[in-house]
Amino acid sequence: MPNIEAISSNHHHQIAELLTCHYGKSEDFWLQRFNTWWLKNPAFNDLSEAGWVILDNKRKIVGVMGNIPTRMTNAGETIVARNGTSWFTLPAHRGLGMHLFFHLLRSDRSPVFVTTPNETTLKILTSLKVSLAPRANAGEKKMASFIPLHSQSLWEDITLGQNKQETVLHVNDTIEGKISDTRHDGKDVLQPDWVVDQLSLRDTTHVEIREINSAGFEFDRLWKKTQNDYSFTNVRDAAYINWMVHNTNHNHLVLGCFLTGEIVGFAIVKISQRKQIFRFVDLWLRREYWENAMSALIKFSVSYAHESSFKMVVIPHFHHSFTQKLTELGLPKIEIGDYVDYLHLPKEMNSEIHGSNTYFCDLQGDNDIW
Amino acid sequence: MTELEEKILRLATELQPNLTEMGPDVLTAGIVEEGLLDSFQLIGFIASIEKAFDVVLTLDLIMSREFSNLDGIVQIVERLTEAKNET
Repeated sequence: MPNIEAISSNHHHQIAELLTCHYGKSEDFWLQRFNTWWLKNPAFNDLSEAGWVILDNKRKIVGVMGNIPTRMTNAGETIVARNGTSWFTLPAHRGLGMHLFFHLLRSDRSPVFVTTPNETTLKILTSLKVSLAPRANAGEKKMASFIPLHSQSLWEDITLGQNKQETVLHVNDTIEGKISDTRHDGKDVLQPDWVVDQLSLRDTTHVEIREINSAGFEFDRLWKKTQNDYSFTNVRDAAYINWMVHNTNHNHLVLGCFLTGEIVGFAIVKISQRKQIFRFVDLWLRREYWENAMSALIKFSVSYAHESSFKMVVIPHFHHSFTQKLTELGLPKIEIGDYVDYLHLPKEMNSEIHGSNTYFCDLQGDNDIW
Repeated sequence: MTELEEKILRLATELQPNLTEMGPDVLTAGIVEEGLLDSFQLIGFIASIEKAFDVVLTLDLIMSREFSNLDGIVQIVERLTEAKNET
């Protein structure tokens, strides 16, 4: 009779072997991932859960459900969330796959995120009635603001919708969505010169953007000042930033915003040379400086991305307030698909967490950590 | 076997015919823990129960200990249909 065990470091090589068989890559690739998920993770300690494995009668691993713990703040208290990743069971043991999934979801105290579901997992989540992470703009499509940088290459990626007012943009396999800009025909907003002319950025004279290679105490101070801005969100202290900076699995750029020398926020950007997109995956700014800091970040991003020959800068609307603020700064909008960040809350947290007091970014769940 | 037990067992065996070979143990064996139904079959089973009895199986119910075998599922469905009839 196969049994389920919590993942320990003794299982790492066998799990890497199993995932290599299923997902490809190499065992070293997976061992490197495990380093990021667990050993270097500031939320991980000796008591943390790394996930679960199914062992057959010969103690061979035949199934795995990984868990990447992350720290979150909930009503001022730091808690650890579970983030499911790399769920796989060998075909002969498929019946036990759900057992692993239930292990992930059966949590008395931790919220559980599943944010990179494949088609099968989506069906399971729907059938089990697991909800999407709550948002103020529930039911809406995922929106982003963008700045085109190389119109010629972008023009190759657009198609006109049935209604000629509707322009659909496809950039590699990353951005696919309807451009929604009421000011002009969608094609205009793909003209870098036109878009830059329309920008109405705020004064950035005293704001400096610095690339962060190592976060220090100033980030802890920023977190202390801002940790109550939202009731339920990721902990964003120096340890979090350093985890992202040193995440060698993905190419992240951390940009600190300093106003007359004091840090007022930061952005974490995914820079993918292959996909040619400069995409914000997290953004945390002090509310009183939001427009000025954001304006400086936009200027910096456009210059950086342009020099690196990216096609576009993309800033997803992690909070519904971004839509208005970024539109006021003159950026066009694009729908970038459906939300797929599922969140299961323990009973006692269920009534406390709702769309108006949450802030979720694109580093939720195992996104960009996987 | 009660009528309800038979009906629920029938819904399960429509998805996994091998269950009939288990004899009376089928009612107490672990659906998820022992892998009687794989993920797709479990989804189908949940949908079949909801449709057949016009009830909603919430995530809490599905993940409860009671839902781990057919015996427990019979009790859940019994409770849900009674509650529905009372309202």
